[in-house]
Amino acid sequence: MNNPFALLSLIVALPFLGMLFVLTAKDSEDTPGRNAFNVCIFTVIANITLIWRVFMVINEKSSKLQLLEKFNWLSTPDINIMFGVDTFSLLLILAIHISILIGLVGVRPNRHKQKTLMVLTLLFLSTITGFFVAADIFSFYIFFEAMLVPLFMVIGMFGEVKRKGPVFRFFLYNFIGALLLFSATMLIYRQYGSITLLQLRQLAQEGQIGAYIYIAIGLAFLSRIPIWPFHYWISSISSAIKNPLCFIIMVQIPLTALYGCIRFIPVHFSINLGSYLTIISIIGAITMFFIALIGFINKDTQYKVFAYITVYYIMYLLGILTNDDVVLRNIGYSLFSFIITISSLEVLSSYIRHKEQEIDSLSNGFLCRVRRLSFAYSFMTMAAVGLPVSAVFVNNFLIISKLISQNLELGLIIVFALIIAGITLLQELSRLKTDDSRCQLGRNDDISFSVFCFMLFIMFMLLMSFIKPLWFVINE
Amino acid sequence: MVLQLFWGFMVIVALTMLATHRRRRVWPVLVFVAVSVLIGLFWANDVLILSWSDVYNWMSYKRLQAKFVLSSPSYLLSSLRILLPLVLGLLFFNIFYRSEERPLSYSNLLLLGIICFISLFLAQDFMQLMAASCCFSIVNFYLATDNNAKNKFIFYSFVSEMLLFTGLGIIYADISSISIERIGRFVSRGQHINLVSVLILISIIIKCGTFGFQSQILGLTKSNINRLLSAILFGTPVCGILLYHKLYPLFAENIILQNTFKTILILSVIWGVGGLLWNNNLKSKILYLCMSFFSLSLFHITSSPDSVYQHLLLPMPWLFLLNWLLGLIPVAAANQTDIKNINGLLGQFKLLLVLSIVSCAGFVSNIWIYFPYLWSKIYAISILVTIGGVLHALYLGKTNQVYSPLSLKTYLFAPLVLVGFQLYSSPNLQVLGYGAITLLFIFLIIPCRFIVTNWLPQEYQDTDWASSTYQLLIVSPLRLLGRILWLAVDFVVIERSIIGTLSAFTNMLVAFLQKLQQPTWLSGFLLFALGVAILLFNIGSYVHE
Repeated sequence: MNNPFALLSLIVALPFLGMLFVLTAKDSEDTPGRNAFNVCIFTVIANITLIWRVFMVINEKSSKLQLLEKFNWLSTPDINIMFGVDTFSLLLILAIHISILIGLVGVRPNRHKQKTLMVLTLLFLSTITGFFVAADIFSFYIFFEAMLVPLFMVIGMFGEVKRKGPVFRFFLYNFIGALLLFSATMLIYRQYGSITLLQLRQLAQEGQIGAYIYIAIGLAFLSRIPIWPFHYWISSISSAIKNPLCFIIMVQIPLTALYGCIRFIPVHFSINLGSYLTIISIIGAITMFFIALIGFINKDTQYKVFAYITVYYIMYLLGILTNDDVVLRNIGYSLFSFIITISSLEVLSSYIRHKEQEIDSLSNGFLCRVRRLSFAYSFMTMAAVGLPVSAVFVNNFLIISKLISQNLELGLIIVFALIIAGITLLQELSRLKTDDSRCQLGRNDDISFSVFCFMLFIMFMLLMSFIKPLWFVINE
Repeated sequence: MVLQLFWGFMVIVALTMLATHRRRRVWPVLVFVAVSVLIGLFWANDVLILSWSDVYNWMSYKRLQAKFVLSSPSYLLSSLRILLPLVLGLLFFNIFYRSEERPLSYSNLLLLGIICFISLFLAQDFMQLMAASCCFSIVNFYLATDNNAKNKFIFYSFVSEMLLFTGLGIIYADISSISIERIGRFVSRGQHINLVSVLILISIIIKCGTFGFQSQILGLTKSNINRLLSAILFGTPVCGILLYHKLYPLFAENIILQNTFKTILILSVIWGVGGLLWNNNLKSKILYLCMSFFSLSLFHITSSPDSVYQHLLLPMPWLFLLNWLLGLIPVAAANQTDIKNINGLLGQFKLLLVLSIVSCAGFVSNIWIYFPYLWSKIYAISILVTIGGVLHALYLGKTNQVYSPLSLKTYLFAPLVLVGFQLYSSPNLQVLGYGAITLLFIFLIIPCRFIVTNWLPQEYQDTDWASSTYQLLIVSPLRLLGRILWLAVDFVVIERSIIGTLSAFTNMLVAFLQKLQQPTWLSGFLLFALGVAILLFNIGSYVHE
């Protein structure tokens, strides 16, 4: 290790330690789950502070993995746990932490098994952080699978998914993807030993074994991104989840697949691989259009949000497939704002749904009566559709320009899908802002002042990210 | 000094956002005073030669260096000298206008509007251009109070911004530069020039609210007069015209596109004049008048792109004042906007009438002088006749309603001062005089009243033809396509066919294996046969070895 304080190990371990504290936290009968919730919030905030500290230590202009830490695990076979981080992965880790924080604010009133939810959330946070700091193939694989355990439990226990079929399919497809990745990892290990991810990118896999490795890795990651034909099971789960924190956790899964694609895609393509990637690009663009249209006609709010998220994730995937380092950096900046925006939007939407159910009333025109919620929801919608209030605006411009320069027709399909996805969200905003006498919700149903202040802080972060992506980095 | 103005307005907006709702009528006074000081300083120090420039390094990405430019060329200073008095007038009006429920919020939006105007005017790269254009849309969205208007507005604006975004994205992809000056390089040797021109032109057409896209502008009918005026002054039509001026090289050499665009603009002018005639609603008349003017202005700018000052900014204050004075009539008439129900105002509002005549004459005289085509002169005459008819219907009709004469006293102060200021700075007093006399003459001719009322049945006047057309031609087919794809592809192909097949195959395999486990002679025989087959397939390789 070249850093005596093992910062990366600390940011992986801290949520796990927090989980242990939550397990031992005691709650009174009057306020069940309150202590566990507070410990969880404190842990996430502490970890965000640590991540901010890591930003100040690394060189944000370097594309190499920094702050390398290596733990010797097994000597035969030679398997180690290796951590390393660059600006891209650190941005995603920070974004996930902030999104989980937003999700926690969203589930604050929900007291059902709150301690269990906090435990699983922190466990998921720990494993997904480990995933993003993993620097070699085994560490990557271990955390790639480890994060699925808390994920399954969160969805199964708190997702409120009524049908069991989608949950079983969710498990099955992830399991098959895990097996494929495992087989590819073993083959890579057999050929090259325990190599780092950066070294892996420099190698071009040849022959039948190389083809199998690429196919296995491709399927393992693509099965987590809602690209055709894998979109159906992901949409079944995501649109059924009502708990906002569960939904936020669920939408991190395609992010892990995108990250995997970035780490495994070779620097130099062979002609065969290039042609397959072209086919994936075409399928991706058509899926975007397809999902955007379905979101447009669907009346379920959750599905609309999911459709929007899907369209953007596939756009990022297509940007990754251009294999351009500058575009990858832009994707990182854009993803940072994107994840925070969708988390905020989901929390606000779930608040509205909760209010609907609480007094059994329609929410049409709800935002006409509540100023704080209206302001927050309108801002988040504008950020989501790509107006210049967050880093999504500029970075999407660069990503889409690159996609258009590669293939104009595909680029136009992508833009058209983005327009429909944006209109889908604006439809929802329009419904909430068109006054309806059937809506029985009133001014008293507005979000609390403290939640509004928190949302203002999130909006401030998004605006600052528009002006300068790494505005919070103060170099030593 | 533009820099000082820009940042001064930003600071005022930021500080007033912290203001509480208590004493909400005091804050507009403070804002008015602060803005007056800023404008006074600007007036005292402005110069008509190129002054110092300020450039901020805004975005520093590897392939994109965007700068936020606030330099002060002379034509911007001249433009601001026209617009700033109008802004001051609106802020003053805002202090006394009781129908405005959120006066502080409104004054912030007005200041943000002028900030967007300055940003767009001074933009030298795509980022500043797009950011300012989007901010125009956001400001207009919040200016509209009617939800129906907001909804239409946001959809139209979003599509317009995305088309602009895509067009500029294609240019950037080709020339790897976001500088507006480099557009010439794209035009001379770039690919997909026609596509880019069409995309951006459609964006401009939507923003300007021309024929086919006028719903978003007409949606402002239910807004208060102050918000309506702000949307005219710093609205998306002005944004669209400035965008055209900035990106003109894209369209300059495409004659077919230019001619198509001009045809649409002529249709818009005709539609606007038609709307001015057939609509009974006074606010709708105002908006149709604006639609026709902006289209006319844009038509002339297509022929000479540097004529934004003569063809847009010079007539605009007169148009603005005319709309303001017409918009005060519903305020005086207990919020009545239907001309049939507003009559007999002459007895109490002579000053309002005089100011309206002068404003209309000023507007028409500017069009007569600066707009060269014959049909522009015909347009000017039609406006004279129509407004004359409107004023006749409003002021000389008979009524039983009683209007309070005191209600407009404070409201008229700002327009009065502004009309005086415009007369003082107008170089065309002679032509203006002729226009005023002509209008007075038309006003006194009784038959003109009937050309401005009762043309069409009310349901045809209120029907939003454009929205209905889009619903039929675009939205419904998309919904149908989405439904077909969802049911046909997702349910039938994936769920029933692929997943259903896999599931059925798995069930079949499991059932077969379960059957093999049964204690029957057939299952025993099958297992035996399976073992023999495996042995036979592999025995050859053993022998070979």
